[in-house]
Amino acid sequence: MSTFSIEIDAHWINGLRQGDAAALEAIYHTFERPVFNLAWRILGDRDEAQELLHDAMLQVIDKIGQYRQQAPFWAWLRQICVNQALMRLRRQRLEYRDEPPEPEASPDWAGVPLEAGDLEAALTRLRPVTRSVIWLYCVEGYTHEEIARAFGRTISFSKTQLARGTSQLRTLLCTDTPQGASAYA
Amino acid sequence: MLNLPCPTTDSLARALQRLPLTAPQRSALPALLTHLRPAPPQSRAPFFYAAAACALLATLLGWVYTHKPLPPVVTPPTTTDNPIPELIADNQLYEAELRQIDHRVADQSAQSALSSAEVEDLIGMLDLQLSVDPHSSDAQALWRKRVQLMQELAALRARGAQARPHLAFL
Repeated sequence: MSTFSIEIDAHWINGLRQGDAAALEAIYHTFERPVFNLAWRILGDRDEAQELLHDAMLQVIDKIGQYRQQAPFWAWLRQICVNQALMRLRRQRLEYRDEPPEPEASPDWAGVPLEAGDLEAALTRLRPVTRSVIWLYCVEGYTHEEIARAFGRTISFSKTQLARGTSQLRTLLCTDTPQGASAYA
Repeated sequence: MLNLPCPTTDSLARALQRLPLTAPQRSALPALLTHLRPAPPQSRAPFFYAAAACALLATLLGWVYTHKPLPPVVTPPTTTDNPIPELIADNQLYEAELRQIDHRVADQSAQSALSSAEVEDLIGMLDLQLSVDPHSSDAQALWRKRVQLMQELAALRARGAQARPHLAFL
């Protein structure tokens, strides 16, 4: 389940539309961590994540009038964060490699040690684009189609990044050799 | 929005979901509060000015319509009932073109970088609108606008790359 999946009372949304500071405070405190966490997972840089937290919330203030309640507020806010994070990745001039798709079958994860600390460390060694796809798919519940749309790429791109990323994560977690692992970053 | 459980990545997904949420080092709230704009109080003056502006506009339009013949309306030929897939393909072509431009020399000046960033911001806004409701009646216009912006961004980057050929050796 997405870390954003928190329902908030409609009167806070209406309050923000009216420029109410208490409403902003309530919404900010509710979503501060999910926003920062998503930014940190995608960008891999705390300073950039801090900037994104500010920019995304600022965009919420500016665009709250356009929120039409067709989707839950958290999903709307999350989409703002994902778009901003991917825009920042684009500015970093990160290239997406159009390599031939790999087989979708990922290695078996049975018996792979999944300690939080090791997993955190392994995540930071992945390429940002690959890490973003894994996070959006596994944690935020995005479909390949949604990821492809967010990146402006094909579904095949999303599947390839996921297959490659999970395979790299498994290698990192099993071999525990940081030197060799740096090749993925 | 939820993905079907996959035995190969399911345990990884659960482990990732269990990772603790990372907290920011400082709150962004104080800076955000300065951006809040309380809704203006209702008064008759804005309504009066809006009504006056509408009346003036109606008068002007009436004058234009009665004194100048309208040019014939030319509608672009439609080749397909749903051009959105074609527009998405166009977008992907420009994405590919952007990737081919040497990024090390792409932004040759602060002005160029600023222009690129502005266009990227606009693209991000379009992506936001498209992601909220990709099947809305405005989707076609939004995708068309995105193609235009991608074209503009590619042109900006290309100009930047041509302006500083010496940096290509860096």
